[in-house]
Amino acid sequence: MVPPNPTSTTGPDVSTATVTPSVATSTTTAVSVRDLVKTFDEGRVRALDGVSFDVPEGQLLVIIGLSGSGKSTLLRHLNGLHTPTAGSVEVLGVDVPAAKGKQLRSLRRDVGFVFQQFNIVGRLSCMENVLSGALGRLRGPRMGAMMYPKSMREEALRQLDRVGLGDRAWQRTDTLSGGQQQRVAIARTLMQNPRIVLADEPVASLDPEISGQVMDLLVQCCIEDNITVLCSLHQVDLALGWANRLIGLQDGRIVLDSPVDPSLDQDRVMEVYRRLDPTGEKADEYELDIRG
Amino acid sequence: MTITTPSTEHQSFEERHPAPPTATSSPNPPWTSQRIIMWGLSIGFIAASLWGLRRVELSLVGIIDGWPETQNLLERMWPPVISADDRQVIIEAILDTFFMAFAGTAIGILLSIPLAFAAAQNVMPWRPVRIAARAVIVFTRAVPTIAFALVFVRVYGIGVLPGIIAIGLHSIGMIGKLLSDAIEQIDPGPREGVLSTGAGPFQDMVTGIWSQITPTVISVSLYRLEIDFRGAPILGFVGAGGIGVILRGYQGNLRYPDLLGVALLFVVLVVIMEIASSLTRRAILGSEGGATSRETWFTRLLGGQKDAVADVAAPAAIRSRSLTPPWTKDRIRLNIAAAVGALLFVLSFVIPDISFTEMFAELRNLPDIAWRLVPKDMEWFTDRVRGDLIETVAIGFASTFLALLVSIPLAFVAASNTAPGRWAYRFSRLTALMLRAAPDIVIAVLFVVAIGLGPAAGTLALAVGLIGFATKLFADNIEEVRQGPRDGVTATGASHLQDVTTAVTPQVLPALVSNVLYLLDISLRSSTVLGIVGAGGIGFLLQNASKTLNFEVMGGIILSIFVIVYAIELLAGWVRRRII
Repeated sequence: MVPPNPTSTTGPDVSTATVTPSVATSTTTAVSVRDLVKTFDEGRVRALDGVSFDVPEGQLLVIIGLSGSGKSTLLRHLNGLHTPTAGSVEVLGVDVPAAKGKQLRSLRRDVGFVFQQFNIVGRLSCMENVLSGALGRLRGPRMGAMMYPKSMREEALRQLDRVGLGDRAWQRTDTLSGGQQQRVAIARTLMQNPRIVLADEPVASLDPEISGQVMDLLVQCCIEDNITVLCSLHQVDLALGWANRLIGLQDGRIVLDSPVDPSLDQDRVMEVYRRLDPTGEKADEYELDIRG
Repeated sequence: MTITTPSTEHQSFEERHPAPPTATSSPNPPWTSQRIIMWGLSIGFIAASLWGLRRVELSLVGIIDGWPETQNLLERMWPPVISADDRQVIIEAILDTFFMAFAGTAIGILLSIPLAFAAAQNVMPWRPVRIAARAVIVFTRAVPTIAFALVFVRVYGIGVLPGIIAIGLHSIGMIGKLLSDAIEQIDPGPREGVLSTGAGPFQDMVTGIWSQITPTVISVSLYRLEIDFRGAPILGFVGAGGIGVILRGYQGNLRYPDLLGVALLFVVLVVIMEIASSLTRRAILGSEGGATSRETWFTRLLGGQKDAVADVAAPAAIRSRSLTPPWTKDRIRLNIAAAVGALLFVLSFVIPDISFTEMFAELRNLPDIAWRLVPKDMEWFTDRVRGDLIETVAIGFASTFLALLVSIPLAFVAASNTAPGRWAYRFSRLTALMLRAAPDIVIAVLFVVAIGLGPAAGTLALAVGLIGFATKLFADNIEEVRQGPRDGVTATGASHLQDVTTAVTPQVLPALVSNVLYLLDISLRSSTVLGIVGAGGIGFLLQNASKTLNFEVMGGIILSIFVIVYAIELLAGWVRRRII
């Protein structure tokens, strides 16, 4: 099933489009995954075991599950960092496993990725890291900030302002705190002007208080820019305020797929926990206090 | 314990033969594969060394018997002088030597960078390209500078240019290997980050990889420059310019005090060079100097650069909202260093008066010469060649052995955490530094004067040079030992010596073994050049073949050297994997 995707051929205007508020056309499918299977170690480890779901554009989707349930593996398939063993992955109308070279790079330009370990270059300044988000729009390698056009440097500074690090532009990122580093990584992703942001446990390396702030920032920016979000999380409570859909993964299978609406109260969240973790042994993986 | 049917290939001895549950084993330690390898290596090494000592006819008795004569010759060298008449020539030769080393290293770096990327598994997806790049790196590392110099002296004629190219080519071996290792060891995370933004392969190489390996590039380059400067005198002995020309002249004219004077002057210059290089490294990299500390032997050579971990306070935020990077101290320093480097590179072609056009024009002839170097039959492998190759190996083993006899005990004195006292520590470190700074060939010339031509002089010369190097290497190993186990042993009431043997030695043993193999590697490589000053080994025939334009013999000998050195490298790699 290939949904028509009229907007995918033209990327956003690079120089002006920082915020393009448009009506979310929920009929367009951003991500479509069918019977996705991924095995590691010659089939001995089955990380994903027949996962299927669709994500309409503009949705804010949260994927929860224990460590090793396949959340990261799933997200990494969506921008081609992994190739599936079986099944199909379609993002913005592009067949991801089949995409190579230029096509893959242009897809990645439209799909931002926020990593648990930030994955910014510690020796480079915030500015240079954020600017590297624009590499997909440029040709040829860039060494040092001065090799990017001035308009891009201005844009990068704006993105840094959005994450509250405008005054740290030229500080080396390895001298920043974890939360600040993740904010730089978010600014780099925003610099891509992505249509989808994949966030793989973006706050798992941060302490609870900072986690909340960084998560809010990420979601706020994505809503402002009308970006579809797929975010894997341990802490469901961080998701309840903004997510409009929850998917639960267990041993590489979807065990829960539910919209988040006013009817989703504390009891239903508890149910999610129990379904994922029936024995309660791994309850400490969740930040929420579980009683009963 | 679960019962599985494992493939027995990659298992240690213990895994294949699990101890019975009743752990009352025999009072003797079991013969694990590690222990067997250690004993086998030790016995093999000692046997080879004793054979080597016999082969080069070096014995304590011989040295004592010949002492009066040696003393006589030494007296003829003393006191060292620097002749006023030659002062101008000497200064020019020293400048030539420096610029030759600088230009050579720079060319080596420029050639190594693309090779290192091509050889790295995480960059180059095509196996054949990787293998080809690795082959170039391995070959240039195993073939000594002097062999390249002898070939290029035939291409360009006598002068500095063949020296530069020889240094450049041989440097590729080390720089290329260290850089490709560094590339393979980088954190893959930031690269994924860069690739996820839609960056292409070249953008990934610059933003994702290059920015991570710059500290390594800088310290490897400076380190290589030190080595190349120290090694440059040998080139003059085969007509490739520099201070070696003067040393050879003095040796030929029997002007021994002059010989000693210039040799000592050069040693001092090498020490100054090392200090300058280490200051430069620190100035450019600051606390990052230890960024390559995951390298094992290499960082230890740098010395004194302990990992400056979290204790570096984050600098005050650079509160600049400009669109251009602010001129921070780091940036200014880096730019100055780059400018000085570029200036020196230009000067190194201007001052020795080398034309680029000549350099590239003659490269045309290279394929032809390369073809003539390939031995078409085995005629070059005469009894004389075989004998000299065996002698080279003998010198290598014997000199390593002699060096170890001195340097292992000395290392415990030269390590700050085991030294019996501060002055002993300082004195032994200084001794090591001075010995290390003296180029092999310079020591060899002095020993040839002192005890006459032949492999015995070469063996002693190499041993002396290695003592300095090995002492520093081992002492740095010892300084990295963890204090905990030592406290444990001391707490049982052990003496200082017991502490050293029980708590320190086992901790340094793996590093020690791997470094002994590394030393053997170095001394085998060095022993190929000794023949040029008449100190035994294959170098003599290699130079003769070059003089008589006997290219096939040259090629054959170079190939043999490659095979010997590469064999030791393979052995070292295997042992390292098994022991560490």
